[in-house]
Amino acid sequence: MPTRAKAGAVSERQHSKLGDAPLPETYHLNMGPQHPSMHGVLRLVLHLDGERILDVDPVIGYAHRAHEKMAEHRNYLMFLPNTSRVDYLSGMIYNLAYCQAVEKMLEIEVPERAEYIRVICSELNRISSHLLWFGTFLLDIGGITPFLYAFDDREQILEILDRVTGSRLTYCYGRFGGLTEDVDTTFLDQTRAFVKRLRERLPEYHALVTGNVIFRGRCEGVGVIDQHVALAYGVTGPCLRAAGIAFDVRRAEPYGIYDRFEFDIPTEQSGDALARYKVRVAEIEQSLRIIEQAVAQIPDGPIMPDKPKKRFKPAAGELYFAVESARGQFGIYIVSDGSEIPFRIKLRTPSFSNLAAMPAVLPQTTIADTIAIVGSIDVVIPEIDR
Amino acid sequence: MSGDAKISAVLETLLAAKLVQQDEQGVGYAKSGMHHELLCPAEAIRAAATVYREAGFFLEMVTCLDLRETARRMRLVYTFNRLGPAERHRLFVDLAEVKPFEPSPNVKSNATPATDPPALPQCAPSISSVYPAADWFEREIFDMFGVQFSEHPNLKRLLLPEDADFHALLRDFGRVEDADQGEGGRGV
Amino acid sequence: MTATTRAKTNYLVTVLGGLFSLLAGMLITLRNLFRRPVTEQYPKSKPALSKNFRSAIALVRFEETQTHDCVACMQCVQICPSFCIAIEGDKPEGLKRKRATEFHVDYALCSVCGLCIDVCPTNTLKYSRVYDQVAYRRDAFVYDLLTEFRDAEVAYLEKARQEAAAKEAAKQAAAAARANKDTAPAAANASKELEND
Repeated sequence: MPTRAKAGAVSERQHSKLGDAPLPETYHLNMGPQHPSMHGVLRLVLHLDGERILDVDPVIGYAHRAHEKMAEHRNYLMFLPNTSRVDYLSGMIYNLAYCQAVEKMLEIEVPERAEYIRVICSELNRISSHLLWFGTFLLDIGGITPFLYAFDDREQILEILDRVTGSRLTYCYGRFGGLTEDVDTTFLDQTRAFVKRLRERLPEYHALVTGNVIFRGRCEGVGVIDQHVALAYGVTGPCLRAAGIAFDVRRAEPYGIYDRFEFDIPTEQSGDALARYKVRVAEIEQSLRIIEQAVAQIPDGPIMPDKPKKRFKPAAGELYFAVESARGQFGIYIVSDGSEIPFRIKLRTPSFSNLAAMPAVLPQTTIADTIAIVGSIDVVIPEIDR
Repeated sequence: MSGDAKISAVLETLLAAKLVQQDEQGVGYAKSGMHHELLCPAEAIRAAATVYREAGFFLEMVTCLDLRETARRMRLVYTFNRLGPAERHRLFVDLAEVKPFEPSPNVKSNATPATDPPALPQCAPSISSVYPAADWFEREIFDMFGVQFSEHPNLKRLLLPEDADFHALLRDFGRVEDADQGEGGRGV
Repeated sequence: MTATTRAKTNYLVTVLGGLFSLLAGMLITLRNLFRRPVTEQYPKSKPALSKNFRSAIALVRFEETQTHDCVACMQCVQICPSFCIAIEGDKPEGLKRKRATEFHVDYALCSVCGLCIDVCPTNTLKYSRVYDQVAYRRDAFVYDLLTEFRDAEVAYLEKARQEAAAKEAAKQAAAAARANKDTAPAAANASKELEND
């Protein structure tokens, strides 16, 4: 608790949530919802003592679009376009996750080729999400140039995916049992070329950013999410792996055909913003590895089952299906009452839990660090608000 | 029974302490994605959560099902998982019996009103003192379903506006049939 | 080493490190200075649309009929998650099959998911390739898909009616022929009877 007395601040005293010691006058600062460094519409009510944060109250809900309510009013197929809009930065992963969940419910066999295409597209999407995070995170803490390089690389991915899916961001590529469009050799060539290109660019990123003194000064030891906090708040994804726990749904509970690929789960021990940065950059390399293997192994064949299900009524019951999105464990909990329309779809989104940990991380840091911390956990607000 | 899944140590502890019981209607991991399907009385959920916390599980999700139409109940769903090879425990916590909501005039319903049912809101013990992660999950459930959580440190709306006078995910809110009868629009 | 000298050395290391990372950054910038720019100068140069580009839906013009083949089955209306399709259909005079008489799409609501294209039984829906729609009012995005088919539709219906009529005539002729065959002996007997009278 602060000991220095402030002139004029003694008359009005408050008791902080943090302890019973009387504090000099604190003041509240609204950061967001319209703030250039608050991604999307996040509002943080900061309780400040000077520049030091005493307490934080994240206010969310500005981008609430009632996806879960919508699910109660339309059949399973009609919910498809909603999925990629929950997290628009890894829309492909979400879209395919929903398809896989319903396939599991209906026991639909997915053709081999479709499975491989799904893996390639999901991993490309993961890289594009990490690249966007890389760019915007550095933009937040003052580095403008890396943003331009990252977006150049991301643009390559968007073009590859656009060519196949017809969309750049909010993909609706999956169908129950397969995909809407088959890929051709051009797609595979483009993907191979991209893997090669990004491999050459990554050392450049490291030279530009990882070793930079200012960057390290802003990130090292900042915003530590340790294992204890991560476990208490259900933090998953790169934020968890940066704390030293090698938990990845692709390994812990393999879905699709992820058990066929060799890849490592990068971890760091320190749990600070720098560790999260390192984990994500290492994950880009691992995703490249997966893509390389998938492109080499992809078989010929159909991409949809012979008789795709158009109208169906899943048996009454419940299902939880989890995938690893770019931000952590994304879970879909579907409850069916045996009708054409889902009784309830609950979306367990990783950013929700990751942001919920902020009240445990932000106190005792400064406003400048807040930017680096909130940037480094990579929240997507529409995913939190759903 | 939850299929042939191996009984884990934490489950043994829970069963021995009679905090949970196996859900007879469970269908097993292959169908539901749940390794263990359990039932837990509302008053035991905090003790059960403590056992999971001590065993190193994390709180994956808490949500609510509005089953007033068919079972006259609200049901909380908790899933706990390990940060290692998956071992998902699903706990159903059934809340006290309530009056089934007024069926929409267009919908045929077999539910008959209970004799003397308590009205909403319903109440469950909060587990946010055990798992801080439950803080937001419980606030969301309060927000969307109107379920109260006792001893929650900060039970206020999470996603909907603070001055909202409705709970959006209740089954009798925003029904298409009602909207068609009323002022028009689809209501969703 | 005393605390002061250590602090001084650390300071020196930091300064040199900062200088080095500055130079490393400059070097990359310098290298990129000689790369080809990646910026696309839209709208001066327009990039090619991707082959599966998704935009508002449009009706397919079929080669043989020169018109669409929407039979107003309403499957797309029912599957549309955004409720943005409105169709009216009617049986044209002299024809047995239904045809769409109104087909409106509100592109402002559409989420280009493609479910309508999937369910269409006559494959008459496709994605159009418009991408630069701008308007001051939302209703400018309500497209009437049948406008470009009005003339072709009239010609098609005329042709179809003629075909149907011809078919009907042929059918009647065949029926009449069959009837003639059945009644011919009777008629012959009748005429004989007449002669006898």
